[in-house]
Amino acid sequence: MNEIQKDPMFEIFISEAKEIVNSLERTFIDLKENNISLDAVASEALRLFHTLKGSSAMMGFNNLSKVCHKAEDIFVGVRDRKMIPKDLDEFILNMLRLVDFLNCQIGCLEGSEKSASNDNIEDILTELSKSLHEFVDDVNKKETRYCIKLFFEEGWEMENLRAFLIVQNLKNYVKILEYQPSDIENNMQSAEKIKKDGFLIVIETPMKKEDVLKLFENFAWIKNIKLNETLEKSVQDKEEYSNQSYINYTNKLINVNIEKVDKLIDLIGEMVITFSMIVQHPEIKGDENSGIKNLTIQMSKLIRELQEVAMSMRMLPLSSTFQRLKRIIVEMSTKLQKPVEVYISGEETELDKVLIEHITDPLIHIVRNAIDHGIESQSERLQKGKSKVGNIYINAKNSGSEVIISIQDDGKGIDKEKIIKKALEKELISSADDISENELFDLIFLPGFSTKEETTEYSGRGVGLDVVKNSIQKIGGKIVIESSKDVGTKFTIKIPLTLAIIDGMLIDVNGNIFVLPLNSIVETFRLEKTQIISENGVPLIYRRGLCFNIVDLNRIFFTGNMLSEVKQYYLGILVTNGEKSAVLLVDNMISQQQIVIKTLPAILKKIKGISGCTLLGSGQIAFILDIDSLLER
Amino acid sequence: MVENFSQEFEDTMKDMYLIFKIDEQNYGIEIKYVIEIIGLMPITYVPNQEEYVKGIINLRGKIIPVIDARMRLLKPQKEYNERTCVIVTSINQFLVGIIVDHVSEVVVIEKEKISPLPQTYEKIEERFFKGVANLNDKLILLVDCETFVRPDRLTAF
Repeated sequence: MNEIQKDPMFEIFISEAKEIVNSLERTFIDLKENNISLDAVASEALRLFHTLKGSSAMMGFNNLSKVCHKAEDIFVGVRDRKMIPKDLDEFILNMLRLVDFLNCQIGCLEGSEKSASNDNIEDILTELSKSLHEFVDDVNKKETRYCIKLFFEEGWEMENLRAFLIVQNLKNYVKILEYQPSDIENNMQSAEKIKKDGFLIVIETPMKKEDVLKLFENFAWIKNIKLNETLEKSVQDKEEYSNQSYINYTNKLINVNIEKVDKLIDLIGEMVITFSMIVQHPEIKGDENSGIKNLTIQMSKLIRELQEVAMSMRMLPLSSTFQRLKRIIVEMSTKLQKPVEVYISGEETELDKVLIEHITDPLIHIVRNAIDHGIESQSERLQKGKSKVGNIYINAKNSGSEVIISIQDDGKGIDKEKIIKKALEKELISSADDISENELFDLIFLPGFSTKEETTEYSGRGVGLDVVKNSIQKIGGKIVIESSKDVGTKFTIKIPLTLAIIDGMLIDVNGNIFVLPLNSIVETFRLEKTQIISENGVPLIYRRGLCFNIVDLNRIFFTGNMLSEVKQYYLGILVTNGEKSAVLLVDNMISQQQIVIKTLPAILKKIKGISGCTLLGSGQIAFILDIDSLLER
Repeated sequence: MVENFSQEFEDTMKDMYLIFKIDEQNYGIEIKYVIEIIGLMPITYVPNQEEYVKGIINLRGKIIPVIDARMRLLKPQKEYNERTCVIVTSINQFLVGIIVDHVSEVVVIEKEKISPLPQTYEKIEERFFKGVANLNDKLILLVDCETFVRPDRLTAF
């Protein structure tokens, strides 16, 4: 297994396979949403399964290719209208199960998932064929109209007669509706016209495009064929359009190993540092006249741009994540018989790839909750005077250096009474009176807190929202709930754009430089030692009517002694993580700059209060302060 | 093909040891762990670490921890001088620098020449060394790189 994994071909296969499975999923969801006709789905799915079959056979994953082969058979049937799904919803659910199965198989191969899905592939396929029933009826075969434009090889002459020959020949196979120029038989002038504009034939036939093209293979003098299906219905319009978009999508992307991108970013980071060393070099710094200064300014602009481009390579749009959410909603709403309309906006918003991986599971969880707990059953909704169909809005947008994702439903909202009752039961709160709405909603993020009386397949096991909150906090994000009864619930998640770069304030503590994330700073002020009150050894400070804990960085990281005798005043920095605040004591503020985060070497013991380190322009190493753990002290 | 190459590569490094000195004692470290030898560079102190972990250095953009071999072996501390250097090692793909008094040479020590440590040796040293070799009347202690570098309290890294 290990040997296979090292193979670059294997990596390519895995990423290609994942892409194919994603496209399959997207295709089936589109079918569900009626964006695309069954025919188009069948040929798209056929194409995808065929590719997957080929590449997995090549890699020697015979199981996978066998599955694809069977799926291919089914879709050939669907495409040729020999099989028609009995119940389209059922069919789509089965297809989605198949997609899950493939995903799981690929995950196994990759080694990211430990065991194969228990779903037996044979079961899925038989169920699938059951939901299709044989349907052979030639009359019902749809005739497609094709518009064919022919260009002839130059120098053969008598184009009109050759065109006429083609028409006569075609008549044996297809119905010819018209051709242009139409007077080829007796007007010699039409030859010139054909030379210039080509020869146009409109035919009608149940044949596939490829088969039609084959008809023309016998005519040696044809230089160029353009074949278009003429569009009859609007559905086909869409079909054409979406086919187009798939093709564009795949053409614009290349797969690059993320390690290469990271390496690139590292190298650029080093380049930035080296360049600033050049600029700081006394010989260059002192030289005002030789024009080197202008060049360095230009160079630094270029480097900055290069850095931005490299960083953006790690960014991916949220569309595929949202696609998965949509898919889950579609699946669940069919199973639970709660029709739901999904509105997605801002899916083009980009986020660091690593961050996307971290938020996908929490988002899925929230969406499941929304359908399972949030959206009421159809009858309940009608009673409340709401529309029968539930609505879920998924939105993403950029806001400064953050991305805000919100998931909103118009369901029954969170029952505050139930939470209070449960919290009292579990002795999480002492009384129901003095608790704010925010604090109340925070309670449901506690482990083991679920208000749903019985558990279902999807949610209510009490494992959940605490995990959601944890994983979002882990990547430096925040989650907020708003909810009102019978109006709905809204989850808002704020996450930093990227993990790799932050805006930081450089501070000096005992001659060592630390980086303080800029977004955690509230204010800075000069602080006389006499202002510090020590109560039972806990240093505090009053400021604007509020009392703050004091965090002496020098004591924590270096000496261990409280407040050195020599210094009369410090610089106080009021920091907050949204919940708690404290004042940090530092010696000096140096400057504000963007820094590239690096992790500390793994063999070092974890240091409370430090989240990583960075390299400064001088090549010096500075630690990045972790505000959350500092505030917990 | 790749396998062959690395096999060959390993063969050329087989039985080769880099010899470094602390006080008058010679120590040997398997050459396959050694990436490079650099002069002492500014070390950034890292709080809350074992005493022998001196801090981290910036090695051309890579941040690597450095440990003091002297302190790791519980020898008395000594001022660093111009002969002090850092052996950069790669152990399970982690880079770690080892500060030593000075490095002298690379020698070949065949397996047959290596004998186990005498029973009387202190426990801590038993863990750090794979064996002892006698080369031209010089006694060389052979360092077990993995336990030498790994933090005591962590079982794996």
